[in-house]
Amino acid sequence: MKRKLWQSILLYAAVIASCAVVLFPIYWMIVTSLQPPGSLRAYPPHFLPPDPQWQTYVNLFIETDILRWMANSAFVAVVATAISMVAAVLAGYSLSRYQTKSSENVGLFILMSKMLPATMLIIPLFGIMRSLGLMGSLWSLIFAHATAIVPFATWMLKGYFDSVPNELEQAAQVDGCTPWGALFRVILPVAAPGLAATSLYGFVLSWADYLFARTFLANNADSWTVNLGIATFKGEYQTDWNLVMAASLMAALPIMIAYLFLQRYLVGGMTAGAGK
Amino acid sequence: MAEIQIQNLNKRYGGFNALQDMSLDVKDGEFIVFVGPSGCGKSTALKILAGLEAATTGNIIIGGEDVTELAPAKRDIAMVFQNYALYPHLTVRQNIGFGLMMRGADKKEINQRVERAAQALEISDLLERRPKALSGGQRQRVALGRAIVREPRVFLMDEPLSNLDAALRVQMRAEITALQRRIGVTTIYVTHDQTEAMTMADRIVIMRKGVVQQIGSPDELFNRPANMFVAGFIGSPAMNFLRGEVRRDDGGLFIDAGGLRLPVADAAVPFVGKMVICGIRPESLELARGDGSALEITPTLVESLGTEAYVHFRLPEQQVKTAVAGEHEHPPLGNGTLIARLYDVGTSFSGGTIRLGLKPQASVHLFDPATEQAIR
Repeated sequence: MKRKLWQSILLYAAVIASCAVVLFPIYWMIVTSLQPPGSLRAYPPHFLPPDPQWQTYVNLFIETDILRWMANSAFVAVVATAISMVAAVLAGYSLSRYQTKSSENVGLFILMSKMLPATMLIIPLFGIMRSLGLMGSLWSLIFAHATAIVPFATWMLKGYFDSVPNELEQAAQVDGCTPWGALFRVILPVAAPGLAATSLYGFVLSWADYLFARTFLANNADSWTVNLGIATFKGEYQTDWNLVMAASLMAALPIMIAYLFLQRYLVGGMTAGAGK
Repeated sequence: MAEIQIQNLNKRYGGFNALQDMSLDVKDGEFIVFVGPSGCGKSTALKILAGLEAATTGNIIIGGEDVTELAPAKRDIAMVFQNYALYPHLTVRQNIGFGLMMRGADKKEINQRVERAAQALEISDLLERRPKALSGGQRQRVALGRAIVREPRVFLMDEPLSNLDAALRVQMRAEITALQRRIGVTTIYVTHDQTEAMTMADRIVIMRKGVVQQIGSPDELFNRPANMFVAGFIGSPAMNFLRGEVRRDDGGLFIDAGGLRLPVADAAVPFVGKMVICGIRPESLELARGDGSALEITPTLVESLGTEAYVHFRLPEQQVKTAVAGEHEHPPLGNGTLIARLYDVGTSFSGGTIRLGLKPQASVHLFDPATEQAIR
């Protein structure tokens, strides 16, 4: 159906307004990062920095450990997501395909663990990590993040597996696959958009964490993640907001790039998983 | 190619009997159709044959080998699914060759056999496409290709035509039958459509609520139904059932069904003086000639199909409420109609009473009202 002119104008106005609301904080981060520290509270504000301070970025990479922090964050996020995905794929697939009397209860139990606030988990997790001698180690964060990612990822993947017809794996079994073979050769490739969406969710959740990192890693500067590192830029009396914004922009960049490349899968994964 | 023996197969889900004591011997190269309404156990039986479900009790023997406990992959069968179950992430070529690849065939052999199968099904130009770029009919051919390429001992087909439109269904029906006759692979085909069963099968297994009702050739089932369910299920429009009393006079045994005198065989002797149910096919009725015995009816609806007309009528005193079974089985209807299939009667009925008689050579099927079994 062809849109009328006024409908098109309304539609584009709504899209532009939504984009402006979403993109303004990122734009303002860029602007702030390029201004001298004192200009943050300038009135009227500079929407385009008159003299862009590119030196801030040079200082960020030379004078701080941001590259190491980002590497730590990346390591934690990738490993936590990988471990979580293995567990969530198997759990989600089992919940979707092998129905027993207790399946529903097990599923709800897993979902319930997602409903617990992270602050509630911190104390028992702290005890566990200390007993295991993992305090200050990146592995403490990996395991803590996995506990947060697995429940939701399991449910996301269960929804996705539910939408994949049973007949596909039955056909694969008749064609010569074992049940494991059917899962790996047919079901997982078919569920690739769902896997991508879920992995991205896990990666973002891990990358964006501050609470667990602050609790488990604060005493070991070598293990700091990017969010923990950026928090140290805040001084007692003075904060270089241009440096904070430049670092924050760097921290947000991997996620933005990941969304850019995976958005097709992400949208497909979300809708297909929710379809049934 | 192989013969199949199904021995006392049972499947229970909790307290529900999905399949009860099913036994069947299928000859090598035979085309068997399992037919019945939804929930009759036909798909369950097929899945047990494929190894996708485990039987509660019973045995399956394919080519002399007991496969009851074997995984689907080890039964050397191929299956075509109702929704085709094509792998969406693979091309048509990879879909068809998947089974061969899983069995370790080399690439050259896979390609040769895939192309041969594609040629036979006229889908050679679709080999590099993915399933989502195919029409329903093309997907159906790819699913068939995936089955035939492996040259299995047995084909299993689970309602493979039910997702196609009516015209394509007729075409694919003929193609599958011709393909099976040409290849000669033992085939078990599941459908709820009695027309498919009648046109495709060497023998039909008609099922209801997990129990086999009758096994026989299409002609046998049509002409000698074992019970009222089979009689009502096979044939379109469905058989009419009328109540009538068995009587004897100088002319011998007959049934009086609402004024219509129906000749009956000696098998009805034990029922003299009792009510029985008479099954009369719509095509066995005609406009009565002369003033012999006839049903006097007032048509409630006349459906003209050009060369023939379906005349609907009611006989509240005589007609028997029967379950209507097609894809689903519906409980007996109080307001169901009887149908006469009349030829060369034109399209005009005045709306008044007409007289229907039985064609000279037409047979009447008798059923015991208590058991619904045929009286023979």
